[in-house]
Order: sequence, then structure tokens, then C-alpha cells
Amino acid sequence: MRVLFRKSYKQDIRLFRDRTQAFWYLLFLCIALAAPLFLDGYFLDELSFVYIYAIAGLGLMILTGFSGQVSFGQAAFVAIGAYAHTILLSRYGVPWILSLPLAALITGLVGLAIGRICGRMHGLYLAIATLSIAIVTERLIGGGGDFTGGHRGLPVPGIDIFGIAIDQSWKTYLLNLALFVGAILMTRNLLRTRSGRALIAIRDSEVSARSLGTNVAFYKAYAFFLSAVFAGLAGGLLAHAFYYITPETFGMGESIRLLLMIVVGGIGTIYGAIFGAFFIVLLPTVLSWVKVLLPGAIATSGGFDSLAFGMILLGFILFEPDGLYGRWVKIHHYFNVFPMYKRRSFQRQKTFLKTERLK
Amino acid sequence: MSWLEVENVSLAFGGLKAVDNLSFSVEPGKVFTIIGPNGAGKSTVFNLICRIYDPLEGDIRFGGESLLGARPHEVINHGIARTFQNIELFEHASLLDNLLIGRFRHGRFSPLSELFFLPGQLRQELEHRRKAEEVIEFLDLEGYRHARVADLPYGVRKKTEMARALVASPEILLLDEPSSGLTTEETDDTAFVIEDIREDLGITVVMIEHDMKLVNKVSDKVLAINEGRFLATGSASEVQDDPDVQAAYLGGEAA
Repeated sequence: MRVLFRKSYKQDIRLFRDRTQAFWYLLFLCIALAAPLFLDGYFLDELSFVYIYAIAGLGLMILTGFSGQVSFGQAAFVAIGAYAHTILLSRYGVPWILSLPLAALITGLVGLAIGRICGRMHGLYLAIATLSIAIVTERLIGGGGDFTGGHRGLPVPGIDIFGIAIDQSWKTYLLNLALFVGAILMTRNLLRTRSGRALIAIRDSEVSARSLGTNVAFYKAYAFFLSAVFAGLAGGLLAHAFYYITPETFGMGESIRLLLMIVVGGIGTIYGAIFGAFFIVLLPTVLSWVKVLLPGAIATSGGFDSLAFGMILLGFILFEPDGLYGRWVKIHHYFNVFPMYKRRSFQRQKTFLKTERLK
Repeated sequence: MSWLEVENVSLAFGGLKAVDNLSFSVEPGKVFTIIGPNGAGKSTVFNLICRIYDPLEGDIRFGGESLLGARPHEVINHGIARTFQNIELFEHASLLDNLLIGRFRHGRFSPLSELFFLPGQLRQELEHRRKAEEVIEFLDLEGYRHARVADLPYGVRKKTEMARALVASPEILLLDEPSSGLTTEETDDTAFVIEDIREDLGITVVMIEHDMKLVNKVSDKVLAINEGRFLATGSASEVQDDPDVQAAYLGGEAA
């Protein structure tokens, strides 16, 4: 068992806890950078999807996991980002390098407006409000006529950065990886500074967050803004990955999938968004391997994928509400204290009752 | 010189008069205690000072300036920090993070600097941490720094809430029942802590308290209220000897 000796306040502020942790993260980064050398195009594209979904997931994590506002509307923001980016590129000829941040910013501003309106709502009401935003956005894009391409959709131009065409799997892979790492760092920075702590304060107790000086409505809207910026960024990248976008690509189902993604990954942690993205993108691939082993009648029936997904989700909610990350922490702890592991280590007992809470 | 002044304040919830034409004033550098039976409106007074409720009439002033123009999150900028009767901590964060949130008013909203962690941020974070460590040492919380608040025992949680209010470096600290739910030893400890807050940190304390031993030990001035109305004020023993106060607690006619 490794004991962490703290000798400086900076140790708690730095990105990595100690050298061992820094070593592992850098090793992972090197493997990810070197992946094009040993993986073929199919897997690189799959990993690109993982990175893009993880960016959208990090955005949703900021909103739902950290500021505590449940949103069924994340796919709407992804859609706005994807359409803004595609329209800026193809219709206005904006260079890619400007178009992507612009699209993210436009999405962010839409998010800010929605956050201003929805910030007063809690729980179920907020869930329904954001759900309706997902539906309305899909309809609006579908009814947008020639501007959005309507239900026929829009073709997405290729990526071109300062004259360099990003046209092969390994190139888009590296581009997505870079933005993914950037998104993680930004989320991490948010969490170790004032605004991030304000979001967590609002999630856990609005009344005391307010008594300590947090303008709750402002920071709730800020969480919506950041979440939408991340979603817009993911949308822009997703548009390129699909080559062709239609409003149905970003329907309500996609919103629900994104929310389930962070639940399965482990809500309230950065890892959760990343683990969840791996789960959601790689699950169909894994299922297709499993199907080979199953009798034909089951494997070819229509709802098999949805059924499997639903069962796995149910399993998580019943047996591991902390998600994949929670499971990982337990496994890690098991080996750390081997052979002294107790299940009770992770059982939370209610030491007191919360009554008369001010809302 | 009076400093925090509550003047003819009234508040009603529907037909229930929670606070009825109440006036009192707190002097700097003193421990001011509000006592009263259950439902007397003690916590409501705190919520009025903290702008959670709007008084129907009357005025609340701090250092000569009316607080009624402030929004709830701006009250702390006047130097007023508080704790809650039923602990309102940030449960899923560590004790240290709770204290760092307490430093909220000593920073500015600077999104780009935060998201890119520009060099100024590190300097600020270290400054916040130093202040948090001072309070951790002051309240003997060293061993719990990195523990999740939800896992801490009740007495420590209570202290953590006090610590979170203290890192905001307030001028006046409102403590809502600092000893409720604590053991006798912890209550004794709380008495010393409150004395130290006044003596060493120079922070004025306004507290709501039921434990008369604690009240006698630390209060400079006591105010008794019942059903939102003023009953008596003075030193702890004066107030306890007041016939109206005895009647309010024991019922029946005053002797």
C-alpha cells in the first residue's frame, strides 16, 4: 500500500498527485498517440467516436455531475454545434480553424440563454424542460428549409487546417485526441478553481452556497454555457465523423444515450465521462462479437441491442450506482489493501438526518 | 456604538406572526446570544439578517448601512457569515474543498484564467489554501482535511461548518445552535472556540443557543424572544431571572 506524503500545498493543486500517477497518465497518452501505428482504420474511427462522445459527456458532466442540473437536452446542443459548424463551413466559407470555435461559442450562447430560463427549475421539472428543448431543436432544424437542409440533411465538407487536408483516419484520430485531451484539461482546471467549486457547492446545498456569496442563478447558467460549449465542439467533430448530418442523428434518443453514458461511467467524476464514452461507443462492437456466439433467432432479432443496453444499464443502477468508475475505485482499493479488503469500506451509513432544509 | 441593528422588524407567514416588531442591536467584539423556546422565531431572525426572508416592515442595518438592498448572496460581502442549525455542508466534497468554497468572496469570476489555469490562479489557490490551513489549525481539524464531509462524525461536521464560515474572514459570525447534537465534552470545547473567535480573531459572534451552560459561559449579552416578540435583554443571569422569560419557558403566570 502506497502512502502519499504531502509536503507542499501545491501537491493538492497540481494536475498529478505524484510521479507514479504522472507516469501512468503520460504512458496512456503515449499509447494513444502511437495508436495509429498498430491499429487499423476501423478501430481508429471507433476511438475517434469515443473521444468525441467523451467531450460531449464532459460537458454534460459539468452540468449534471457537478452543478447538479439534470439535462435530457445535451444532444440538442450537439446538433446546434454540428449544424453551426457545417453551415459556417459550407455556406459562409469560414476557415475550419475559426469555424469550430465559433460553432462552440454559438452553442454556448444558446446554452446560456436556456440556462437562464431553466436555472430556476429543479429535478423532474428541469428534466422535462430540457427534454422539450431536445425535441424542439430537432423540429426546428428539420423545418429549417434550405438553410439547414431540412430533413434531407446537409453534407459536411472535409477538414482543412491551413491548407493541410485532414482526410485520413489517423489524421482525424489525432485531431480528435488533441481536442479530447484539451477538454479534459479544461474540466480539470475548472474543478480546481473557484467557479468549479461554486458549481459543486450549488449541487450539494444551494442555500449555503448562497450564504457564502455564490450567485446561484449566474453559476447555473454558467454551467449550461460551458456544457453547451463542449457539446458544440463535440457536434462539430461529430459532423465530420458522419460526413452527412440530418436532424434525426441528434434526436431525443441521443440525448438519453448521453445521459445514460455518464450514469454508467460514474456520475460526478471526469473519469465517468470517459469510461462512459468507451462503454457507449464500443458496446455495439462487443455485442456484434457476442452475437456470433448466439443462436441465429436471437442474434438477428431487431431489439437485441436495445435489450442488451437496457439490461446492462439496469444492472448498473441496481448493483453499482457509482458506475464503471466506482467499480474501478473498488478494484483499485482491493489490490491496495490486499488481503484486508472489506465490503463495508464503501458502505455509507447515514450518520444524521437532514430535516427542515431550506430550498 | 451599535453595529448590527435590527429595528422594528416584522415578518409573517400567512396569518402566523413569526417575528413581531422586534428590535435589538449587537455591539462589535461581543458575543450576543438569542434564546427562546421552540418556534420563538430565532432562526427566522437569522434568515432575515441573511436576506432569505424579506421583512414586512422595519430595517436591518450593519455598520450604518441598510442590508435590505442586498441580495442573499451579497450579504457575505458585508462581512456577515453564518452556520445552519441542520448542517448545510457540501456533502460530496472534501473538508478542504468545503473550506475553499468558503473563500469564494475573496476571488473574482475570471473564466479564461480559470479554464486555462493561468499563473495567477496558482497564486490565488495557494493564498486560499494558506487561509484555510490557518482555520484548520485554529479548530483542530488537521486529521480530517482530505476526508469526505459525508463520512465525518457529527461533531466534526459541526466544526467544519464553523470553519467554512471563518475562512470567509467575516466581521460577524452568526451561529445557529452551535452545540445542538454535540456531546457534553464537545459543547465545552465549543465554548472555548467561541471565546477564541472573539478574543483572538476579533470576530463578533451572534448565536442562537439552548444550552444554558454554554450561554452563561460565553455570552456578553443575551436576548430572549418568544413568539417573535421581545421578552428581555441583558446579561445571562438577568435574562434568566426575568419573570417573563421564566413564564415563556415554564408556562403559566409570571411569579
